Amino acid sequence: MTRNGFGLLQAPAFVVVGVLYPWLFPGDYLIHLGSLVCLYVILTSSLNLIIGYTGQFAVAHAAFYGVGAYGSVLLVTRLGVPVWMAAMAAIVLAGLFALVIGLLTLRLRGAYLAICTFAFSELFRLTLDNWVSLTNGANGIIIRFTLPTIALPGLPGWRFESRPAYYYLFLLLAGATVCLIQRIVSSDVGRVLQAIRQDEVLARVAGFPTYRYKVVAFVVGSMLAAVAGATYAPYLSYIAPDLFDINETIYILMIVMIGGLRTIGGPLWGSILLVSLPQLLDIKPVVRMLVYGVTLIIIMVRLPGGLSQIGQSLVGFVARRRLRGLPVGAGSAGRSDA
Amino acid sequence: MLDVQGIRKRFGGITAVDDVSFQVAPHSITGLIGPNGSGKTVTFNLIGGLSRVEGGQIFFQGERIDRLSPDAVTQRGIGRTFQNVKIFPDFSVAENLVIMGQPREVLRCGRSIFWNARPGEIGARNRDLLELVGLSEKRDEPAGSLSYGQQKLLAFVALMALRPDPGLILLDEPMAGVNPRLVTTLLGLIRLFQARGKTFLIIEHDMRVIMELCSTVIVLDQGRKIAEGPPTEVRRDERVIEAYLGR
Amino acid sequence: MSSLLLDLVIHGLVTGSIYATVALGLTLTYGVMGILNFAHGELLMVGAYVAYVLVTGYGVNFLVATLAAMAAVALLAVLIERTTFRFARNEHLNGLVISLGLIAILQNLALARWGADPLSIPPPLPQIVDIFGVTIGLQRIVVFGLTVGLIGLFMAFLRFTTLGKAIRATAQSPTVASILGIRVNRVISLAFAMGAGLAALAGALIGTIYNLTPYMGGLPAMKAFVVVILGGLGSVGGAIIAGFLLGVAESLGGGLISSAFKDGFGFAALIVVLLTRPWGLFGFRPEREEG
Repeated sequence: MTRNGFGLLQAPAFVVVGVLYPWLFPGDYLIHLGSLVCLYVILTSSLNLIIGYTGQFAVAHAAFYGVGAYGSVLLVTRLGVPVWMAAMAAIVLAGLFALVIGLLTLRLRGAYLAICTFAFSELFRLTLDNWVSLTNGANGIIIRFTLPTIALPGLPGWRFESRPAYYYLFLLLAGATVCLIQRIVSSDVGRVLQAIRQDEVLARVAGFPTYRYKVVAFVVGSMLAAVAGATYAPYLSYIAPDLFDINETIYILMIVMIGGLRTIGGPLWGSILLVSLPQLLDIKPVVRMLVYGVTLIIIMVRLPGGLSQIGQSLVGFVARRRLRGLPVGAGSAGRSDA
Repeated sequence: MLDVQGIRKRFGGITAVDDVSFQVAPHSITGLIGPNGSGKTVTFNLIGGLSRVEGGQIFFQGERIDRLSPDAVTQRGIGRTFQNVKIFPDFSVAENLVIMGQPREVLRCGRSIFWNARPGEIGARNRDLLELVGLSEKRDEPAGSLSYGQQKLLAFVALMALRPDPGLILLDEPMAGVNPRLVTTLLGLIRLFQARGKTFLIIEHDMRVIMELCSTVIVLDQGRKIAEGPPTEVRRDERVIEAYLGR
Repeated sequence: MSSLLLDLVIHGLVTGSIYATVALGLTLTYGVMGILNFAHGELLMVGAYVAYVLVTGYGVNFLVATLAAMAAVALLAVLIERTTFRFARNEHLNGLVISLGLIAILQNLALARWGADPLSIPPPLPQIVDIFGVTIGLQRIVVFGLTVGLIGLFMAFLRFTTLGKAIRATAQSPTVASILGIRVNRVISLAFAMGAGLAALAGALIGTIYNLTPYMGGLPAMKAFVVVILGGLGSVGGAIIAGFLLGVAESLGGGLISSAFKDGFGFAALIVVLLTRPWGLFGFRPEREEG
């Protein structure tokens, strides 16, 4: 059974194309697009861990992304914390929030996690909007610092003064995220997470403390979202509350679901196609969200087998099929008893 | 081995289990029977930790288990199957066994993220188990694509793949919805594993199975134990006959 | 001091009545359909805009416009249920995802049509009155009266009419209900439509007190969800009582402690409840297997 559907052939191809990208597609705009795609690879892959593999419906992902962004920026501007340290602290903070929410709700029915993450997302946005003295409210914050140079032994430092410099950072982070998720998924832990998604009662009866596993998946996924936020904020030079609200989570979720839930390649391909196409075709966000929303619903409705069938949706399906040269899923219909 | 003392459980206004006590001797096969709604599955849920007892205690090998969570109960050495057969449908047949044998603790499993992250290898023990039930050829197929009978076999054999090795096996209507040939297979399997040292507590409606397998039978009716003893005796017990017929 | 308290309590009751209405609609949907509709706030928003269009564009009387908005949104709900939620009956995660997709669709449709600038419905009764020494807009009194009246009507409907009983039966067990001859599909559509209608009512009323934007539904929805947990998932009475309680608590907290974080009080209450009594005021203590 393909647990990650991401063949060994694809990985080097992605790396090569990723590294050569700024030469293949030069220019500020295209390189920025590349960074954006990498950002969403991080966001979608980490959400996929929580919702796709572990089956926990958590919708505060953009809020954790925001904790990473606002957290690090505020620590730097208000408390003068060095940038990299502020980023780490913000990520840890996101982890703490996720831990609290997880501990409170993951012992209860799934509806509780969904509601609490929804509420947390709204509350976070409200706090950003209203605590003006801290966050400058809905006007957002203009960021005047960049990521400090990373000293590389024996090489010139990694200076963040140009778009390609940032791009390679995001590429690295995206690659690391995908690797990490792939390792988790194919490990013993990942097996348990997927068992929890399929049948949590059975997983418990099989002897697994499912509560702990769910919390771990939720916290890890959420912290990865914060990583994206903390590194992207200085690049963007501007953050505002409406970048981190429930609509952003919906957007991330759309990419995951349309790209292919529960595959490693799904968030990858999804981010590449669904983030860059609207930009390249100059489609307005309103139109984009409408189209994606409708597509999302069509997918939900046309796959009555539920989310368990969605590993085969659109792009993920095509990618894996081409890779393996085989039809996906060995269906052996109704054999007689042994 | 299993010592159930005066357990009680209510759901809303209904008393599902009322002051039920019994013991299960090691290496025996004990039957738990009774009309529908008599509280048999609830009893299993109470033993297994899926439900909390509201009175009474349950001891397993001398240790009190009625306050434990389901995963803790399983780790003490009790395995169970479900009436509606439960397996992991998206996992392959082999993987359903592999997961039973892997470490339970998050940290111990976490090590496998950083090294040894190979797809579930199927050890010799699991291979033998699959052979035993004739599912060897299906080992890479998703368990959800198996027929009902094959899934029952898989669920049964998955229990045997549990680590730590389960001493007590609770079977909830193992013969339900199963064709006669498979019944024979299952009977053979149960006896085989009894010979290997396991203890069974079986809920069943099929009286022939009960008569064939069980050394002791416990009868529940409307949440209360109304009889206990060898199958031949219980079969003739008036209260038992009345419980099944007198409705 | 006591008149300040009274002032806060009365205003809190008014807000609370709106919370109760929205939460009631949500509970109805969840109880009967089994799906948490995150887009409940967007149904509220659509109701507000429909009322807005009718009142400002066609000069329709406010009461009539509100009823029309309720009907329109109810119809929309039926359409939505038939085309989307119906297919997610047994897969809860699907339903949640669908509701998120609906948020995007409804919000962006409103955005496309009316833009993001705040609008407002001129309140039909802009006078200020004095009750027990408290100054309050007459409109708010009307809001309170309307919502309480409708809630009362609705509770009576649930308890005493055949249809109401059918709804309650379906909420408890759709299988048994269908065996009893209840047309479960129709009941579900109807329940959802009624829940949506309640949301639309709240929306139209809110539109006279606060501003309309395509995003206006988010906050009331979040409050409604908090209320639903406080009152007990699936408990209709709990949702109503908890709604009023939250309204009053927020008002008191906002007036006495800090007005900037009024909205945070609900969240704080949520945390306390989750720590101590997760099944809410009137919910049922779940079996461990539901954990």
